[in-house]
Amino acid sequence: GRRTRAEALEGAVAPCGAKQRSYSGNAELSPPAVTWCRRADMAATSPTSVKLSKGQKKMLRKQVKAQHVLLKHDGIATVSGPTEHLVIANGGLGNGVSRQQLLEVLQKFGTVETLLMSPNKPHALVTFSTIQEAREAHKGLNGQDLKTNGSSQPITLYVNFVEKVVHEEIPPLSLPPGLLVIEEFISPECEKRLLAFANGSTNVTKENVRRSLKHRRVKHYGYEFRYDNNNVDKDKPLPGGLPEICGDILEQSMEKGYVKFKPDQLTINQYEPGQGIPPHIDTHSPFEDGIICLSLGAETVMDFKHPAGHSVPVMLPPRSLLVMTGECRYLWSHGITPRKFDVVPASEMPKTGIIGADVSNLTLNKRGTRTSFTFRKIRKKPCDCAYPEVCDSQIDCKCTNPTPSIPASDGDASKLEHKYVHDVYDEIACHFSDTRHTPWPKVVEFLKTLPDGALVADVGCGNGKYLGVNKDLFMIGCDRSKNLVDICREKQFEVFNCDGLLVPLRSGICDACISIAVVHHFSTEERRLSAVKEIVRLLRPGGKGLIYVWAMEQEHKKVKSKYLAERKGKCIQPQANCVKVQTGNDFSYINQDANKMDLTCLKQLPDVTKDSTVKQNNAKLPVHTNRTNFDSQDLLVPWHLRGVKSHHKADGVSALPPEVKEHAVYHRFYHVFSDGELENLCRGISNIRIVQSYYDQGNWCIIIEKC
Amino acid sequence: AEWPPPAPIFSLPLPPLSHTPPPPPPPHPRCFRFRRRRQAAMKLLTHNLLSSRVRGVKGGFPLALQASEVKINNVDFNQEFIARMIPKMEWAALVGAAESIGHRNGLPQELDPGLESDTDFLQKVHHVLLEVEVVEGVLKCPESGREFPISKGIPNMLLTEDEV
Repeated sequence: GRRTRAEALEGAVAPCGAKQRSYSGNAELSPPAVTWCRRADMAATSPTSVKLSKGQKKMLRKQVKAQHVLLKHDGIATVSGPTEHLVIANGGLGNGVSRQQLLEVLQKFGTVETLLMSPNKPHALVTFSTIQEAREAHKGLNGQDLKTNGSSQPITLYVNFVEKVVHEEIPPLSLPPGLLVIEEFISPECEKRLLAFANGSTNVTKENVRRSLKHRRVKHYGYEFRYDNNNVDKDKPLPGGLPEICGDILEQSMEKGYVKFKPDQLTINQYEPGQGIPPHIDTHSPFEDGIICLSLGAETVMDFKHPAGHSVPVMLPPRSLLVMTGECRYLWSHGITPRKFDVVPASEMPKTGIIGADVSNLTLNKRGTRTSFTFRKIRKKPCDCAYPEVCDSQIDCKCTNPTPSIPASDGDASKLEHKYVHDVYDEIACHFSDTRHTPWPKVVEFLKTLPDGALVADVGCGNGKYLGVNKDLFMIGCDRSKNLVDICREKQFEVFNCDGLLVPLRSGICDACISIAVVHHFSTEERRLSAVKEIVRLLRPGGKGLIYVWAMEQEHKKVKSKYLAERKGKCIQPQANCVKVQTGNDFSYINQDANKMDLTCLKQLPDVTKDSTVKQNNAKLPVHTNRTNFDSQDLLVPWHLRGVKSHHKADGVSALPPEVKEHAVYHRFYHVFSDGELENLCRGISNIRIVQSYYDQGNWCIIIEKC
Repeated sequence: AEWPPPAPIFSLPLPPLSHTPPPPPPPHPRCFRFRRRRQAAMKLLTHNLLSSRVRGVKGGFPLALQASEVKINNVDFNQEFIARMIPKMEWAALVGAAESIGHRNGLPQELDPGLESDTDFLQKVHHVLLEVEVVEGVLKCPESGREFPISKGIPNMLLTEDEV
């Protein structure tokens, strides 16, 4: 039956300390600690009898939304009947709620037997000792606000019952071999002195730098570490050597046997909360084995990752010395996630310093400003470690992974295209497709002027951008990338998989043919000519072909193409993932991402030196910087894939191991065409005539007609 | 013989117009808008155009068609389109392919020029060309015997290094 407002308010429990929000529109009521959950329960059982106010409906909606989100993202099924188990949406480590805080709130309702909080999840699972206690907690907490220290905005908790709470035992992690953390390596006084030194030695513009919170501050002594090529100028030592103040530390480290050689290079890093350093391996060739790192000022969690994918988070307390040797130094990558809170054990930290994955024992730890002194010994000879796959010295020697150059033979060309076109497109298919949604107007124009019922082939159709432009045509698309063709198929287009040099269609069958941004992926002139000849073969007499290729000239008639014009900011502007480097009195910003030699892109990355000399034979392929002018015609263009979550289930083939997906740089081969080159290429084909040749948004374009 | 009318499944949705923004994200989990997805597959029209490019093969056409999964789709009939498409087709190959998957639909062995304006005939051709789709199957090169799989409606015509 219908409940009165009074009855609804009966038995309401006011959660201590939590701010109460008034949902009902009725001003005459004192701010009620309303049992919205009860109404929700009631709504479930007798939907017609309760008339909910706007605020109540909103709250109910949010609670239901929380249920769906939990089910969809985490497979947590909520139930309506009371149990001892609750799921607290928005009360998780992942959204800034600490274990202590939540525990405090929960314990007011009874005995908490289990509280599970996963590091990245925005919810918590709690088991009370009795069903009644759980009911009280549900009543009292659902829709209530919680203040967190992280943000000024209070968080609203939504509580639902669950069947059961499962706590999986995860096998303990072990430290990477060669890793040591020595706690209290220096005294607090020594720490103070070193910090004063570090802060004092950075120069006048310190104030400005402090305000730019995006990137950590860096200073080098002994030798400068260069972030553009991840190497050291071994012939150009910095004057002054290492600061005297570090003398003791170095003596101690050598005495204790942490390092074999006395370090002669020092890098001081300073991390504000929210700053970090992307995962990387310290380049092999410039530094010997044995790298030590002293942490000062605050603790932080450093993540160590093995190439196979498993990750070990390690706590680095202040005044501790981190020692990396052997496998840990050469094979495992290390990094600090840029965030303001770390997830740490709630109870005492284990001796090893590894942060376990026991979700019943995790909480948040606020970061402070951490300064690190990393000492390394410069190595003169090339590296000869036991980990050639990740070694910059040995990677060049291996025949299986040579730095790519302009192919001399057709076989080489095919291999190059496999690696730097086909495999890459299969990897980036979803992200690529997401960024290719607007058909270019002049291509659309070409398609729209074709007669109704024309049979048109799109050779190298990519994500099918043009296949649906004119529904009066019968368009068939084909592409070499299985994953891109899958995407086309999902859009209901008629497509198949094939190679552009051997299109499996009957000759003379097409009324028209388009090939947009395809021919420039072929690595020899021969192959490019073959590709165009294939297009010509497909055309019936009188049929028209449209070909677009990337132009070397990105500025035409004094107008910059969109590719250039859309360049975000200039070099000197700080961007995300830039590190500010100080050497002497100069500051510069180096973009770490594009050139960082981290594990994820090692298999793809060729020699990163920007060599702009292009000789005809065996010239190395330079890596292009996106959104700048082209320096050479044959080059590798980076694609930055940033852990894109795709809705498309690509069970297509992937040449690279699964862990190489979070953030990677892929290089695609291009031969950009110079003015007149496309025309000349077509003139080499006898049975066609050139209808029109033009420049469109950074592309050379041609319309040909078969005679 | 009378052919049965096609099972009404879902008609071909209109392809997106140019200059429209990218497709919307998947529906919010809260609203249970049931999204029907018609899974497209290879039409017999396409099959009639495909040929084998295995090294040394002279013709490579037609590819013998075997299907383990066929579906029928509803497509709007456009008489003119069909009339224009027929001359491009290799008629014997079309009939052969349709026959091999059991959807000949009463098409005659020989193409009679007089039938060009016969609406009933054109509708039959329309059905075979555009409404019969192969989801899973195999295409076989008549000369080399090489088999090209059709999977999820996509023929995979890629050749290996040594076949090229």
